[in-house]
Formats: sequence, structure tokens, C-alpha cells
Amino acid sequence: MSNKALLTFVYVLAVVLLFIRIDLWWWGTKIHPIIAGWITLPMLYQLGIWAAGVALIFIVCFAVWKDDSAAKGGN
Amino acid sequence: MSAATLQILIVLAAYTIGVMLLGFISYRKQATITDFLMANREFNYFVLFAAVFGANISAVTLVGVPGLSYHIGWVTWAYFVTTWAWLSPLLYYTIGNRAYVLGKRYDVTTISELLGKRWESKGLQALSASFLLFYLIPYMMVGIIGGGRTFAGLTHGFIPYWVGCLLVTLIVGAYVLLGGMRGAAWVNTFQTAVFLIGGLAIFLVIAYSLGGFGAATSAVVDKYPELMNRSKIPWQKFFSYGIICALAVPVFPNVFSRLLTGKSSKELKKIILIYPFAGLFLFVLMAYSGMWGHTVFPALKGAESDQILGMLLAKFAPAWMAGVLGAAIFSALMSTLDSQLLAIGQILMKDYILPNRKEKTANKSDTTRTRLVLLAFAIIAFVVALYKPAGIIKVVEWAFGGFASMLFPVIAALYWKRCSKGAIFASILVSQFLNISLPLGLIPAAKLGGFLPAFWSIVGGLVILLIAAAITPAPDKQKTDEFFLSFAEK
Repeated sequence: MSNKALLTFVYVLAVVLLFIRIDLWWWGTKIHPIIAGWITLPMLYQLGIWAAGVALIFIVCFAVWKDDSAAKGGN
Repeated sequence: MSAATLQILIVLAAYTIGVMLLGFISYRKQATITDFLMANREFNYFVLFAAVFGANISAVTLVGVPGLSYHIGWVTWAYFVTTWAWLSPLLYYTIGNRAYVLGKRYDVTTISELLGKRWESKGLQALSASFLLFYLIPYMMVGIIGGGRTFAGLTHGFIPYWVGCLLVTLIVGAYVLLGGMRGAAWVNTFQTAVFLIGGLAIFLVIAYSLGGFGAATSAVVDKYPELMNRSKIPWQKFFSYGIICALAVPVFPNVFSRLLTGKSSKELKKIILIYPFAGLFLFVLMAYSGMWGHTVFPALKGAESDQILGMLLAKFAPAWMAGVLGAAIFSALMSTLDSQLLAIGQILMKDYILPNRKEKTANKSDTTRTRLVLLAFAIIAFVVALYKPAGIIKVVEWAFGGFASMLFPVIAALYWKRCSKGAIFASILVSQFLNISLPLGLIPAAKLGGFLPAFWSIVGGLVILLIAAAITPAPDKQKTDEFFLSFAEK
């Protein structure tokens, strides 16, 4: 995959994450902690969104950003 | 004054003296205006991370987040972290990578300078600089309010709100005026370490005092289930603030200029990797501390909850520890305040004074003049803070919207050759008009669909940008190609 395609993939996924971060199915419902008496499923879901976002950063830093040369381009 | 309050004040005084000493040492090393405002762009990634993260993490995190989670629960950390902590660093890459190149080539240090250089327009530069300055005042005020409320909480009101505000303003003003960017960055390195370690200590002290994580959360589940099920915050608000916060941070004048102070763009890459982890760590600690605090002090109304961390420390921690942990809170808010003051100096110098000077270079008296203007802005923010406006998060939801609306014009400047100057003017004017007029009731709040007004100002600005760019003539090809050539050169 080219740099441009990879970067497009990252940005599209970033937008998707912005929307699916709203877990409407749990919103406002009473949920009891399932881990260590204080972690609930919606908390884990939000943590998952954060982790997916971090994965995008790793893709950019290790697969797209070739130090100073990454500044090339324009459309 | 009680013995406990005296101990707290002694620890805070010792912390303040340490901070001032760092600023003074930096003052002795600094010579030129570029050194004062940008520390000659010589920071490695560790100092750069502390400078950028310290500029970003403010009273919002260590005062506003516990205050908000007191009312709406754990969701406060997700409110920020599930977008800002990863999307802002991603945008640091998008913007910072190219802006760094422009910084090296044209000595660009501000957002407005970047826009002015791209379209060779002093008008565009002055317009965008004016809006950046306009939003910096409420954002600075948030830090001063946080300082006043934390002092009051820690000392059970012995230090009144206004004195706390004044102390914070004086301390930050003094070390910034002495040390400039170099002093602020070294102070911030110290402060970032203090608030990260202090944040963890605050969390552990509160959790331990309440019987552990499980017991503290059980008390919330039993007595205040609304803090666990997120019924206190509509999903539309959660959605819109996530976008506002993440898009605003890279455009904060204080954060943007610090992105450009690294030795090379490699330093930027390293801080982007650390950022989301530090963000998650701190916000989770603060959100749970504030939520658990509701069971200890259940009767706080509105902005009173901004004092919750100070009140919990005063209740549960030994006095000396409350002082040390209080210093962590002050570290966070001061590290942002100082960067905001410097950002104001940069905007005044680079966007108003130098473009209108024949020789286009700074002279020695500029450093003194800049210091005086920074002092004036600090006084204005202090005076506005005395009016005790809304809670910290309410203020930033609006001010961040103003910054976030500038993001798409900046991206267009760096990536979109076809985009015209007129389109940027139209986008900025429309989005800022919406951001200012919607909260004043231009359109009834009920018709905004539950989304924050600032969300609509971002959307409005983007739509206008796309339409105006399509219908206005393309900019001069030769000049545009020359500008974009910067990104092809190493």
C-alpha cells in the first residue's frame, strides 16, 4: 500500500472512530462493574476506541512518516 | 490560620521559589527575541514533550475534569480521551510536520503567520491573529480561575478566591517575563513531572481513603447511579465535544508554536507516540477522583465542584502532602498559562509588529516591549477571572470551538493548492460569527439538535470553505507552487 493510500485509510478510520465512539446501546442504562468492582463494559468499550486511535498513530509514525521526507507532496 | 493551612502554604511557597529560580537561571542565558519566544528551536523530545503536553494540560484537566466528573461521572475521561488523546497527536503530524518545514524556511511561529505567508495577505494574517488573541483571554482566565478555586479549596477558604487568582497571575507572570520560552520550557519539564506523579498520588490517596477502587465505586453505584450510567450527559454533547476538543488543541497558539521548537521533526514524532498514553493516564485519574468525591461532599452546586480535588486533599491527606499535591495542580495550570502568555507575545510580534516594520527584523527593545504587553494581558485575564464566570468546562467548550474552527483553514493552507484567500476569509468569518452568536441565542438552543454550538461553527466554517473555494478563482499558480516547493525540499 502506498503512503498516500495508507494515510487515507488512517484518516477514514479516524472519522469512523469519532462516530462509533457513541455507544448508544448502553447510553443511560444501569450497568454494574465487571472487573475489580469498578470497571464496566462501557468503560472498556471507550478504552477500546482509545486503543484503536493509538493504533492509527503507530501506523502513521512507523509506516507513513519517513522523517523529513514525509513533508513532501500537496495536491 | 490553622497549623495545617500553614503547612500547606509553606510547601506551596517552596514550590514557587523553585519555579522562580528556574525562570531566573534561564533569564541569564537568554539574549534575543527569538530566544525569548522560541528558545532558538533547540529542544530535544523530552523537553519538547513536557513543553507541548504542559501547554496542553491545564486547569481544565486538574480542576475542570474532577469538577465535571463530580456532576456527570466517569464518562468525563472518555469525553476527552477517546478523541483528543489520539486525534490531536494525529493532527500534530498532519499540521506539525509541514509547519515545521515552514518554520525552518520562513521562521513561521504562529498559525496566523502561516495563513498570511501562504496567501501573502497581511489582512488574513491580522484577522486570524485577532481571533486567536480573542480566544486566548478566556482560555488564560480558566487557569487563573482554577488557581483561585484550588487555593480556596486547599486552605478551607483562608486564601480567598481573588487572592488565589492574584498569586497565580503574579507567579506565572514573573517567571515568564524573566525566562521567556526557554525558562517556561524548563519550568514545564519540572511541572509536567510534578503533575503526572502528583496526579497518580492524588488518585491513590483518595482511593485509599475511601476504602479502595471497588469500595469507592460501589458507593457511587449505590447512591448516585446516574454517575455510572451517563444519563447526565446527552450523547450529542459527548459526540460534539470530542470533535471540538480534538480539533482545537493543535490550533492552540501555545501548543502550535511549541510544536515548532524541536531540534528536528523527529522529535515531534517521538512526542506523538507518548502523548495518548500520558493523556489517558492523567484523565482517568482525575475523572475517577472527582466522581468518588461526590460521595464525600455531596452538596456542591455548579462550579463549586471545581474545588473538589483541593477539598478532598485537605480532608484526606496530611497537610504537607496536601501542599505537595496542591503544587501538582498548580503545575498543570501554570504550565499552560505561561505558554499562553508567550503565544500572545509571538502573535503580537510576528503578526502585528514585524509585518508593518520596514526592516522586518526584531530589535533589542522588542523584548522589553513584549514583556510589558504580556503583563497587560495577564492583568486583563486576572480582572475577567474575578467576575467568576461559569464553570471551567463551560468556558472552554466555547473558547475551544473558536480555535477548532481555525483547523480547516490551516489544513487547507498546508495541503490544498486550489484553495483561495477569499475562501479562507469566508470560512473564518462565518465560523467565528456562528461561534460567537449561537451561544447568544441567534438560533434557539433547542434547534441545535443537542449538539454544542461550537460544533455547528466548525461544520459551518468547513461547508463555507468548500463552497467558496469552488466558486472563487484559484490563487496564483507560480506563487502557490513556490510555497509548496518547501515541502519537497529537505
